[in-house]
Amino acid sequence: MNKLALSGKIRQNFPNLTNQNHFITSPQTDNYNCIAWSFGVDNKWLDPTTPDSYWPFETVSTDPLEALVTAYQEKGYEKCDNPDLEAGYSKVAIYVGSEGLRHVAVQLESGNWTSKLGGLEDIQHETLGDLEGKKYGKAQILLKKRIT
Amino acid sequence: MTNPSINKPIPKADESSSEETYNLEIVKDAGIGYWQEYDVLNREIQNLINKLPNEHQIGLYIHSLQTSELRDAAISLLRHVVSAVKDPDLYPLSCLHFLNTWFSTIEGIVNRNVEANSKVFKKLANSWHEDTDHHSFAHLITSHEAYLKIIAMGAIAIPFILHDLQERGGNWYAALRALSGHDPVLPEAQGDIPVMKESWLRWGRNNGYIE
Repeated sequence: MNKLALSGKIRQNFPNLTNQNHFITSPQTDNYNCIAWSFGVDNKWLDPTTPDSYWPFETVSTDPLEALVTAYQEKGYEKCDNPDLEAGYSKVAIYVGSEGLRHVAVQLESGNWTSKLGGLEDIQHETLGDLEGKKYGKAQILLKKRIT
Repeated sequence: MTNPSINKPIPKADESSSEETYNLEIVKDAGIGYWQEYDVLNREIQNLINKLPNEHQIGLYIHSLQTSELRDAAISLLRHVVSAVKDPDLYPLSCLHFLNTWFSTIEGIVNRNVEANSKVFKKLANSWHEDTDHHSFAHLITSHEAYLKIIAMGAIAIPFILHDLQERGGNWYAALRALSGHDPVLPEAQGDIPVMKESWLRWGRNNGYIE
């Protein structure tokens, strides 16, 4: 992975990212965020924590993490144990930090992961650990959905 | 300037003479000196009127002054208005001179405030963007210390926020709602960031916060 990588300033927030394990796949935009990206939406900001956001799911919860997990379940996802590539399944990983919900990454057919970094760029990264740390916490909840 | 007016007397019915007589009467007006002075005065008045701030600038002054500065400025203006009302000779040139001087003073204060507040805002906004632009969730973005400090700056922060929203984006919506007491974003536009941005920028333009 030696394509264009995140700038050093942004990478300070993600010490596990190196020029070898990620590259940028979109221009910077705040038109959509990681949840929207995980549902294949690139023109809305989806966030269960604010009225400023688009939230098209039936379940509304005061707990953002619960609201998000329920939203995935509404769309056919079920919890799973590992991030390994499984034929016929699409997986998402929810990162959780000390203040709860932090980030969502989506697995690609290659086994790599795609992440929309808030209002910054989309990146493709090799492992979930590449984005783990102080900012996004750990990828703690994994869900999968049958696609074939 | 002399201005000859020709008064033609109405002929009487029994007057057979076909020769008409004219009675020339010289009427003196105020003189060319007066009109020249009047013209100069008018031009000076127009010049002073042109220098008066427009709606946008007045909005900027109001939004950029501290409460105590607004109070002092209002008192100073009221004092002059009261003395001007008592002395008709003060109109209109003196009033306009006073207004221009008054607005120049206000502008000086505003420029100093804008410059100082702009520096404070930029430092806080940079820190906020750096720490939160990678986040997707409002509870992480709008609880950042710098974001809260910007809200604490009060309404003077609104023009800076709108410029930053235009240039760098970001979830400024909660701050704008808190500071303005308004929400120009229609419910169906929630989450549609380009529409939300434009709604706030239009509100800012309509209310004199940005051009």
